[in-house]
Amino acid sequence: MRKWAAVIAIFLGLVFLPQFISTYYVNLLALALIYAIFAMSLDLVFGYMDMPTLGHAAFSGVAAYAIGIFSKDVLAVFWLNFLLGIGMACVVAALFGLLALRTREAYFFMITLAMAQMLWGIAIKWRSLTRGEDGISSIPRPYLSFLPWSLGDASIYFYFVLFFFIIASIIMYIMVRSPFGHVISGIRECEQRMRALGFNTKLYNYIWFIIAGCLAGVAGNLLVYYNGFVSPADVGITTSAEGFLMVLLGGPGTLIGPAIGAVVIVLLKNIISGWTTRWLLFIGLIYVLVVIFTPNGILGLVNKFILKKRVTT
Amino acid sequence: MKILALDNVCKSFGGLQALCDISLEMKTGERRAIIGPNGAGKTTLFHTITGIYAPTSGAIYLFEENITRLPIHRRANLGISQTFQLINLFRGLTVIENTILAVQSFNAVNYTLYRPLSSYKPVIHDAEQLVAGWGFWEKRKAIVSSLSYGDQRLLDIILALARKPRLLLLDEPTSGLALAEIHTVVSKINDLSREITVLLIEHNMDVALNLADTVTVLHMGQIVTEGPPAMIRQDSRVKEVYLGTRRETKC
Repeated sequence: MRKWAAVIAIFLGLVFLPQFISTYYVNLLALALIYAIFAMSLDLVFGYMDMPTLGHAAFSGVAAYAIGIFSKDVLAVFWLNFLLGIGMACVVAALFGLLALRTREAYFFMITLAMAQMLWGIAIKWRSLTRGEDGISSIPRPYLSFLPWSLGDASIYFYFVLFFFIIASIIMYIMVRSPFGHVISGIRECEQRMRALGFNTKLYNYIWFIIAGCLAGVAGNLLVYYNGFVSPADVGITTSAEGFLMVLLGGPGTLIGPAIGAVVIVLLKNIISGWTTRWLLFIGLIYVLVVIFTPNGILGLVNKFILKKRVTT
Repeated sequence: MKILALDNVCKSFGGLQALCDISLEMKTGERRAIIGPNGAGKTTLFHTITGIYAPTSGAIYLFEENITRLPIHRRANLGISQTFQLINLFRGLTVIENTILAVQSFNAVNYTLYRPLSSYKPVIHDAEQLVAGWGFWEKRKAIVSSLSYGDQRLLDIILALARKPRLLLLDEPTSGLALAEIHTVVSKINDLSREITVLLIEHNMDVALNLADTVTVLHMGQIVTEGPPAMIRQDSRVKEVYLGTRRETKC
């Protein structure tokens, strides 16, 4: 009961907050929610499968590029572009998964990184398609004829993002509690036993990985419309590592944890970069402190000291 | 009907021949124990039957179907279930979550993504029945890694039985158990329906000879002899295998 009360409180807070804060913070909050979707989808792989990935930005980045290229050079129809973005993310996840899921742990970490860097290389070198290091700029926000408002407005775009954030959260919430999600946690705990119980563990992992990639694509879609810009950095290691840090900071193996981590990192990044350009130094410091003192992230701290609850995952 | 048939199965690891020309047949409902000293190849034999190892040569038939090249999970779905010598459980999950995994594994709900597991009442109900039937009701919410060794062993067997297997392979089901727990396991196995065929590896001779209709003695990867327990007790080769031959010493 208390959990649902908290969820409803957060929801109402998110709905009404834009009325009380400046446009700058409304924008920041929208960005935080976009990264929250990204971090939650990353945690489906990292936390729920226990497969640390450093290539998750490949999926969101490809979605962003797909929208950028298609809507600028071919046809700017919102729902078509949006589906294309998600579709491309799914396709890339399906391709990556074929190879990457043959490995485990550190090898998985490295191979996901390597594959994402291949895309990064393509984004830089295939200039005729991707405009190279310049990236694709001034990608317009979609115009939705059935809405009376323009998505160019900060708070309207925030609600647009909030809508997808809620949908994605519900999807992931049901996923991790479904029979399929239970199978995934079984595979995480003991894959050999799962096979002996008759589960085709590779297929389960593969499907789960692809879905996580598709959901990262949703985040990529929202990000490219938010920025109006996509560049090789969006598929590169920095974005992946940032997502990884959000999950670690918030609390891996949960959904709310990565969302909290995303909000904290996005806010910190903007606040710290306001008074120094060396904000990465502080992010790194936070990372070190979290890993040493609270391996279960902020959520672990909350559970330990406020709810006095043992963390199971 | 022949439940399981092994036809000249060999398995080598590099230069080490772990199994050599193993031929074996089991009928429906049979209880067979495999005994043999350490390193005889008992567990290797299990792993070739369940699919963890592929045999180097020879063929394996389950329900008269050639399964030699089938992957583990396909064999499991044909009706093989196994327990492990080194306990293989989902250590971070609770007892009931472990059992649910085993129950859902043959319930065709596994690929469902759009509905919470808790809404599948029959699956939950079956798992709860099993847990209660084995005296784990009070411990159902305990994390498995916090259970005693004996309890983990029992849970291992619960998971194997949850799948209602036709062929059950038990790899040392009583090792590390206290006397009372051994008694529980033996009576549970004796109570199993004769539709289930049981193949077990056992070091405890009393248990093996008590449970089995037939005993197969394995030594150095080969079958030394097989027969009913009474005969095995008398067999001089079996004594040799376990105790070694008397060496003539002159001095």
